[in-house]
Amino acid sequence: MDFLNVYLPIPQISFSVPLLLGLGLCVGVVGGFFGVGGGWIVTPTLNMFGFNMSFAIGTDMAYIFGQSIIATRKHSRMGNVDFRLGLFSVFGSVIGVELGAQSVMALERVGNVGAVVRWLYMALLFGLGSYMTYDYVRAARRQPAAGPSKAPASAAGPGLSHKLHALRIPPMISLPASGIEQVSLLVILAIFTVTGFLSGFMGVGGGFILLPALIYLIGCPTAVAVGTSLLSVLLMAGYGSFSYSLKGRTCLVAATIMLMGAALGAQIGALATRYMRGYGIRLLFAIMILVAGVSVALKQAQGFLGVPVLGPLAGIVVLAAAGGMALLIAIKLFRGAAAERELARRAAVHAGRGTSENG
Amino acid sequence: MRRWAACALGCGLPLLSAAATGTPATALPQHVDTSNLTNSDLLLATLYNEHRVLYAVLTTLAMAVFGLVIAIAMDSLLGQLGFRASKFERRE
Repeated sequence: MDFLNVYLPIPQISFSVPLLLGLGLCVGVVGGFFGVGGGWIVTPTLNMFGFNMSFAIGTDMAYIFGQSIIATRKHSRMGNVDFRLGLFSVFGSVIGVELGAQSVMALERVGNVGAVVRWLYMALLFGLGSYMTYDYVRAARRQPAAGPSKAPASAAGPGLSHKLHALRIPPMISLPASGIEQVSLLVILAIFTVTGFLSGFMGVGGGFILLPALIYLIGCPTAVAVGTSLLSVLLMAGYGSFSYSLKGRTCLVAATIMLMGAALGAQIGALATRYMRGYGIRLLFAIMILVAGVSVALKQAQGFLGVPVLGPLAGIVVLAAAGGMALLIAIKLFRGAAAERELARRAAVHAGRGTSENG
Repeated sequence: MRRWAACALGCGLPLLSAAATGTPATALPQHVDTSNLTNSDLLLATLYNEHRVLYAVLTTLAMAVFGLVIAIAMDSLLGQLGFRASKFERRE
């Protein structure tokens, strides 16, 4: 089965081509659907199968850059990208990421920062996942009486986003693509600085922090939050890809093979958002980040308990969750498209009958 | 309450950091051995060894161009299969 392996000249290892293609496909689906880069799936998997950690991160960055171009283009055609908001997100995020990185350096002078980062990462994953699940349950209880809503509201009342919109700190801007009439630019930049800080502190792409921030703090409709988050991920990953390549930590061949898998995956993920309600996307996202939290907890427990098998198990949990979620999203897409075609067919038959009766 | 949370975070993180143990990372080699490489592998490794900035530009540009070309090609392919991307009414 040697022909299924490819020699990667930069990290100087052989790697399975089907694994790279499959990983690209699954992460493409998940990334295109949730508006995240998927670094928390790619990096541990590459690392688990032989990539050095820094090579895994750098290659992941290059791949995410290409993959988010595919998904952002698709979302943009569906009207899901707020380009103005995406641009502001980059300004705020750059400041925040730098602050986060500086904090890590400061903590490193005191001791090992790794444990702190993992604890914060776990708290954030479990906290966000639990809140979004709670939000979904509250909304599901209300839904039968009110019916599906077009408004980007949170189930926890009018929400923090309305309170933040009410802050009249000049300059005020409008975000028509997100349906926001007026909001302070400083508030927007402050939100992105905080999300950027968390990304920089934990060394993650930040899509999983950005998506809930866009929904709950800025008040974007879920589909627009997904598209805009992807635009932000694209810009940040572009910079990350160049920076890691300059440090010699990317493998162009591996990233290109994964991108071939993402060619189909990112399109499936982006198209599937069309057939799901906003709250459905939020619930699946909550499940995904709760599973990611379990994976990080397993890795943490490996150090505490001294059980070596927990490390690979953490990687397998993430891979299985990504594969399962990609399959579920693909099924949603095909079912939604089939239902849409059936509706169109019935409408055409109905229109045909109407014309013949009139004639 | 918020003040207490801020204090706990401000003091807790450095304390946790000091309490944690770990081994320092080892440096990775910055040079690829090209003696066994041929064709495109050799070309890529030479670029990596001798022109790092060019390698970084090539990697980033390649991802952008591949991404765009693949996106356009798959768009038309999926469009022919009936999966068209158009604006739609969003429901929360």
